[in-house]
Formats: sequence, structure tokens, C-alpha cells
Amino acid sequence: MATAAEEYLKKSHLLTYFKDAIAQLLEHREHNPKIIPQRFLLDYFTSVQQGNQSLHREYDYVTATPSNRRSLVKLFYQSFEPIGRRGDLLNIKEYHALLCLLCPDFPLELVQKTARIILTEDVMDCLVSFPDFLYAFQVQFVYEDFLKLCLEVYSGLLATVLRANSSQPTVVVVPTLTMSNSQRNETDALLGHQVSPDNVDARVFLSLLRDRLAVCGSHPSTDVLESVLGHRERVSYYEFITLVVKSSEVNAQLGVLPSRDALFGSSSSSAGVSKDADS
Amino acid sequence: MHRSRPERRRGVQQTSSEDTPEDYLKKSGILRHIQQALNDVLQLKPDDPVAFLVEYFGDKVELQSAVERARKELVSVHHSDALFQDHIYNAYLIMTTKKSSEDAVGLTGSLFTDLLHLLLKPVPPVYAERLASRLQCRSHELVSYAIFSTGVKACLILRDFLRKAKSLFNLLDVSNCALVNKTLCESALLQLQGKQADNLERALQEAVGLSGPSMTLEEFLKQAVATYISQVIEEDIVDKQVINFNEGTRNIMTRPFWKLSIESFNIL
Repeated sequence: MATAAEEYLKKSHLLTYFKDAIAQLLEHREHNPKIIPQRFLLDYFTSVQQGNQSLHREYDYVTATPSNRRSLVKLFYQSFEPIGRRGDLLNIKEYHALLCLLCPDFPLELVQKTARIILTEDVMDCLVSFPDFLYAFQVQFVYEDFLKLCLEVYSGLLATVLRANSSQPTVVVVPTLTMSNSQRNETDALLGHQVSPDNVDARVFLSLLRDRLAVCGSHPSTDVLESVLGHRERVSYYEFITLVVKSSEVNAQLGVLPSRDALFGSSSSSAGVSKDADS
Repeated sequence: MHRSRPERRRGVQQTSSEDTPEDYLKKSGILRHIQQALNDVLQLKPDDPVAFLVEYFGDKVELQSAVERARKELVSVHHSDALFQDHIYNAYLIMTTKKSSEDAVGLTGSLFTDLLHLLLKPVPPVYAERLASRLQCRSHELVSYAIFSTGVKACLILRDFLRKAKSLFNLLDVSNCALVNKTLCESALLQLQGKQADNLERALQEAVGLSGPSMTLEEFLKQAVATYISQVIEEDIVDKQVINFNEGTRNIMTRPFWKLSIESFNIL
């Protein structure tokens, strides 16, 4: 049984930050021997407070805490907002290259996963708008564990339903990264009568999900998830994720990005980028 | 002060201060500070621990700058100057004025220790540590003005003492071989303590004849500092030290033999 102090330490990730701060301090000392430790710690935690700590840090650090993940999203938005403002469309490789400017060893896989949410076809050179990418990336990256959990619950539910509907053992077709809608329909056809539904009962899905949320790191709150589903009776995995991505409540709860219509607002709040209003 | 350790190396793995990472972390006291910070956070368990730490370290940085300002105040005049007492008082005020009034009114032991270490920076660590551990108070204890005054003076005098002891040794080292006749050294040390040295004549003869055992600079300094530190107890003793020290050196200087060699130097 963990003590209250241990619980608090774990939740606040303070040990992660202190260990990293000391490592950074020792590294910086080689370049600047006159460094004052207290000053360094002050600067370090100020940067965490302002959400800038992930700048030019390696992938391991950026994924170490929820706050670090949020920080990367915020930095991505602030750094590349001008590109979005111009209305440029980029492909997945280009978004990945942009991310690597902020985090040198950021994996392509996560960017691909983000694309999969937006696009129906998994095509690497398909063009995506900046806002579409940004909001999808936010959910994919900050709620990475949550999405994995959703997929697990969804697949489990799907499998149960299929077993219940048939007397024979069935191959469960689970939506994967590389499968497109057309491929899925094909597989459905192959299964003959036992057409695997590509959606599940929304209520059941939500209640199963709710039971598992306690051990999940960062996730949208259950009431937000409920309102996201609304009155839907059935939902597919990608439908659900898209609803989460597009939800302004989820965005508000994440607290990183402004609402979609204020994305290119003239007064960028904490960005410190002073741009004139669009003409 | 010349160090017998190797020169700094630039741009290599080894940092220019030659500390290993562990040494650096211990010396700078940062691990102690982090431990204190964590203790405070875990006690309070604030909703926003990061904001709490920002404020916490902000205060620490401000206190550090107070220590630095106090140090500047203390080294701006020589400790033998008549006005030095004023500077001690000002330094004490700088250290005890705090931004937030919820903290204890007065100077805490830990801050006093920081100041002592800062003042002792020019001194080789082995001596600095000995004097500091002699003078410092427990971290949460309040330091009175009297103790502050004594401690500060003791540090500054030690700095001077070492410098002068070293130049005295160099003075005695007429043949420039970094070794001085032992008896001569001991006499000199006695003189520094304000005591008369009976065998000075014999010592001088030995020195001139280059006979008898000898002492290195390190040994000379070690003994000199040991004597000094062992006598740092109360304020009036420290003051007496100042007088002894000055008189001792003056005694040495008035002896004819010394006078000849000292013509070329000016150690006072």
C-alpha cells in the first residue's frame, strides 16, 4: 500500500523532473562552469510551469510526463502557426520533419497513427491541413495510452459480440493501422454471413471503458466522453476517435490549444508571437 | 593563490573546476537544497507542485544574492580599518532583511554557513572546511550578531593570515628551494603567535649554514593554520589574534637579519 507521499510523488512526477534537472545541470556545467545551481533549478521549473520544457529534448524526455507531452504540442503550435496561417497543406513526412525540428528523434510511427485518424486511406503523401493535423496530433500524443485502451476495449467488445453471434469460431477483424476501409469491407465480405460489424453499442463500449480508466494515465473525463458520444447508439473505433478529436470540450480539458476558430487569432496568448490580424 | 594542481583544461570531458559530478553536487550544496525542497513539497502537498517549486527556488535565488551582497560589503574595506565594524553591521542587515515576513526574523544557520563558505573561497578547502565547521551553527538556529561578527572576522583574517604566512615562508626561503629550515619556521610561527622565540639565533645560524631539518610550504601553512584555528573561540580572542598577528610580524621585521631580506619585500 503506497503512502500518501509516494502517491503524491508519483502523480506529480517530481522525481522525474529533479533527476532530469540534475542531469541537465551537470551537462550545462561543462559549458558554463560559473552556473549557479539554485538559479538553474529556478529556470528549469519555470520552464516546466510555462510549458516550454520539451523544446529540443529527446523523445524519452518528451514522453516522460503528461505535462511534457502537452509541452510538445504547445511548442509545435507556436512554432509552426505561421505555416498554418498561410493555409499550406503538408503531407505526413513533412509534418514529421517539422516535429523533428523540435524533438530530433520523434518516431514517424506516431505521425502515421495521427494521419490514420484523419484520413481514410493510409497514404503517406496525402495532404493534410495544419489545423486537422494539430488537433488530431494533440489527442494522439497526449492521450496515447488512452487511445490504446480504447482500441483494446473496442476489440474485446467486438470479439465478444462476434462470438455471441456465431456458433463457429470467428476470425476477429480488428481495425489496424494499415487497413483501409475498402480492405475492411473486403474482409467483411469474406466472412460471409457473419458480417463483422464495424461498430459496437456505444453505451456498452463507454461503460466498459469507464471501468478501465482508473489506471489509465491521462484521459478525458467520463462526462466529457459521454457528451462526445451524445445520443449515438452505435459507434466504430475511428468514429469515436474522430469525435474526441473534434470535440471542443476535450480540447478545453486538454488546455493546450485554443478553440479551432481562434487558432490563428491576432493576439496569440502565451505564445509571445506578436502578429498582426489577418487581412 | 597559486595551486599545485594541474592547469585547467578546456573543452574536454573534465570540467575546468576539476570536480567530479558527485563532488560538485556535494560542494555546491544543491542536493541538500533539493532534499529540503522535496521535504517541504511533500509536507504541504500543494495542488500545483511546479508553481510551488518555482516560488521556492525564486526565494532561494534571492537569498543567495543577499549572501553575495553581504560578502561584497565585507570585503570592500580591510578588516583592520576603523570603519570595518560598520560594514559588518550592514552585512548583517542585508542577510536578515527578508521579502516575506512569515519567515523567522533573523539570520538562519544555513544562510550563515553559505556566507562563510563564500568568504573562504580563496582558501584551500582543507583549511576552509576546518574553520567553517568550527564557526557554523545548525541550519535552523538563529545566528546572533556577536557570532556573526566573530565568524566573519575569523574568515577574513584567515585569508590574510594565509597570504602573509606564505610570503613569510617565501621570504625565509632565501635559497629559493621551497624548503626552509625547520627551526626557523617554528620560530617564525611562535613569533606569529606573539610569543618570543628563544632559539632564534641558533635558527638563523642553521639557516645560513643550510644545516638541520627543513619544512615545506605546505607543512608550514598547516601548522600556522592549525594554531590559528585552535584559538578561534570568542570574539575577544579573535581580536587578540589580530593584534598578535600584526605584532608578531612586526617583531620579525625589526630584527636586523630579517630587515635586510625584507628591504626588497613589503609584506605589511
